[in-house]
Amino acid sequence: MDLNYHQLHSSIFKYHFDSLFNYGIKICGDEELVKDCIQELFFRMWKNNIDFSTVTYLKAYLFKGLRRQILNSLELKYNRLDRTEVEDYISLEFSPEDYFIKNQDEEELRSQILHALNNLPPKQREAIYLRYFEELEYDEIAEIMHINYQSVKNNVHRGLDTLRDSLSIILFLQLFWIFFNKN
Amino acid sequence: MNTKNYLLDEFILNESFQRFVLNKSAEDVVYWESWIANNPDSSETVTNAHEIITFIASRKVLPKNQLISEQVYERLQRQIHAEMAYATKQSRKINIHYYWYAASIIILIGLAFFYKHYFPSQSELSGQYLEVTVLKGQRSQLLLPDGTQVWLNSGSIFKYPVNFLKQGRNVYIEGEAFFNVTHKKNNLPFIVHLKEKLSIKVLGTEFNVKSYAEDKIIETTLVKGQIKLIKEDASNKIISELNIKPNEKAIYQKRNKQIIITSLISVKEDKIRSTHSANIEASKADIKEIDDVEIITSWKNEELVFQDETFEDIGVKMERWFGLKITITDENLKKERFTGKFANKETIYQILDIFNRSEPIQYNSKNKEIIISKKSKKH
Repeated sequence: MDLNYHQLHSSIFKYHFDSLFNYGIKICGDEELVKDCIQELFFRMWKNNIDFSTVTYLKAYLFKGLRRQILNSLELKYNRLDRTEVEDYISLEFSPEDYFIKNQDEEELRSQILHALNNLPPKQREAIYLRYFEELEYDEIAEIMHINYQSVKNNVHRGLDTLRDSLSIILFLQLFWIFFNKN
Repeated sequence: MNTKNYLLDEFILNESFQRFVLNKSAEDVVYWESWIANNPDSSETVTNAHEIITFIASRKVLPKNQLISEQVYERLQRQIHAEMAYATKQSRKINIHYYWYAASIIILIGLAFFYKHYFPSQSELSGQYLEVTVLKGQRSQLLLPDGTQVWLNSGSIFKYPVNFLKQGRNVYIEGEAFFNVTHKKNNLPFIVHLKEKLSIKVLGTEFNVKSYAEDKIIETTLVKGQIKLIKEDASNKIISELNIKPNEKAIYQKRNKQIIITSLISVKEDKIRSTHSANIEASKADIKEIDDVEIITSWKNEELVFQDETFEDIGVKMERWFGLKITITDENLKKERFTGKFANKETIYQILDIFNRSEPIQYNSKNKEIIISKKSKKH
């Protein structure tokens, strides 16, 4: 066994696990399934001796792999062969843990923000999550979600427009919070 | 340059602006800094948008799943191990040996990594000090709980404990400050802590302190009363204690850790003049003090005063005063000495134009940087 390769493989697992696990949970909501999928993804990479140095966008590569692995498992689980039908099972949900609050007073603010986010159409939600929470580029998101570059852009922009309309008052509340509750 | 008037949420949603605030792209930083310089009307909106983005960015969290991560990792290693045992039966023992060796190292690395991630340091959690930061280009004034007045000059950080009155009056300064300390009946000392294990002990008095991290010296000037300049060694043992009298200035040189005390001579000058002295070279090595207390403390009255200072030192002073970057390209110009007083909130350009009257200089400015050179002679 190649020690260096094993070490690299392990550190990639440790570094990306949290991001992958959170994303997996968000898109399918099944913790056990996500755990199995991550394990399988990394096992396959090890077995196929994937040369990580040739992977340009490692994070996007892993997200794409996990998403496909989850789709495959769902296919088996629900016994569906049509991929577009399985896609419908994927729907990213934002949860309260995504938005850190410092005290109870902000609970209301958080629930309004989550409500606005979760009211967006599923594709917009997923694109916004990958763009702003995982900080991936449009072309990387296109790879992961298996849609073209322009649709990613459209999804992100439409989502932001909707958020702007529903959030402007909240932004002012935040401003208020910053100025008067700083210490 | 785009001079469109943005609304608050347009700034917030602008990705280029977000990258500028979070300092993610040099290109965007350059673009927005010059945009802001050219659109002073928008500065309030920009400041608000800046705060909101920073706030939101600090609120974004990725939940940590350490236990699940370890559990899946272990399962993965078992699976890999089983696969290996199956694939390479012949060299199995050696492989396993190396595997466990590697695994234990990886686990150690992993533990260190997780530890750093999950347990923030103690200092982040303690909120025992109140800190005041004065940005370059600004000056500030504050009143401490005991009635002591503090003036803070540009680019200074001032810290004092929350329970200020209970356990000694200890304050910390990096930068320049002027103190008017109130005398306490119970003789509770007021101690100003500086860098390099220096501190100033006072009972009730007025004095100025200048201790910028980037300066070669730390200095304090007493206006009235009495102060003690205390120097400690690495183990916090007092190694020297110097009494400073009014109109005296103590200078500590970081280079050789020497303290010099000089008496101040009063010099009154109102107009700017350049000293065309031939011995600039000779005098630059030692520190000559011909400034008086009024000049040293003039900054607290919003007066910018230079007293026989080199243009290089004046450049540093103006950088702080105006919050700009100043670069002087001419080596001879750096050594020229000037005296002058600006008490009417002159702009940097007005000041440079006045300098220009006694010494032909030219300057270019872009993105909060001013480059000053000698005017090329065209005769």
